[in-house]
Amino acid sequence: MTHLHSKDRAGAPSPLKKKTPASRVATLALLTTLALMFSYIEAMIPAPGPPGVKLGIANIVIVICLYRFSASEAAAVNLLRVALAGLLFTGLFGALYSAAGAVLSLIGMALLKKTNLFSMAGVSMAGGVLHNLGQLIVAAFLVEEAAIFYYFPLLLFSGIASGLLTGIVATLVARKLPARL
Amino acid sequence: MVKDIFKKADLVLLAALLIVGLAASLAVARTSHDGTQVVIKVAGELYGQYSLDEDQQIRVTSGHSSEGSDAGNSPGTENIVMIEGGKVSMTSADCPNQDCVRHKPISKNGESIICLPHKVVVQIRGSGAHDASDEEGGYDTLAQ
Repeated sequence: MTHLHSKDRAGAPSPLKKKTPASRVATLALLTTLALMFSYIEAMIPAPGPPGVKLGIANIVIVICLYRFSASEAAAVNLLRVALAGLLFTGLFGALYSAAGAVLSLIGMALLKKTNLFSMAGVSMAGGVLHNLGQLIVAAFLVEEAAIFYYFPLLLFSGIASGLLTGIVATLVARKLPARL
Repeated sequence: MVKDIFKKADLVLLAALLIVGLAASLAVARTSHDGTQVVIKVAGELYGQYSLDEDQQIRVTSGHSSEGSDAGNSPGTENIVMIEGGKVSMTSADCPNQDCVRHKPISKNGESIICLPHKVVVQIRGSGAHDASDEEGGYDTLAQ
């Protein structure tokens, strides 16, 4: 199960390197579609709390992508997914501040993963928090109102919860994945 | 199997995040009490300020392109804000996602209802109504 803690390009080559570019594109496309499906399912569930509180189940795919491949692939899949979701159902604004959250969260997750100190679930937890924080920052800029940070504690806690949840699921799923994805 | 999922550092991270969250909650709670003014801003500019005690309905529109001023974004957008019984809510809006309309009524200082596509911010402020984020400063009411 060494692929769970596979090193980046600096370390041992990931299984991805042995594949042809075509099969790599196909795999990533498949993962993007999967993430998009999760986004869609989530969009169908009426949002209970304030805007920004959500499960983020698409991140299960993203986190697995981060660990299985690398940050670049995870970023590509995530941003493409956000763009498609924006075109299909969430709308331009949804896509915009989802993208901001995605960028911040991926940078943070990639950095934490590099330290090799945290588990996939822990990294995902941080990712959840950073995602919400990124969205909050963009929203504050868009409405030009700093007091929006009133919602920071709520989004922090919900980010922890959703990050942990998706992280645990991702860990369990990743264990069951075949070595050759 | 369950314990294999986490590492020690995760707990440290979780504790750190919870502490930050707690500190932020305290900071928010300390400044949170029933407000008295309802401030409506569109794209960062003050649209109007109203008393929370007066039941009223405010129609926030944008699309007045007078002197090239950009008070809103798309022409003819409309949000309707209702102040009733000391609570503020967005009763209707013609934006696509309707997050603002579904928001629960607000009444406390610092709470806000935001319509992101229309850049409308409805916020509750205290009686001072002049704080760090108030760039205009000096307006008590603005006749529309």
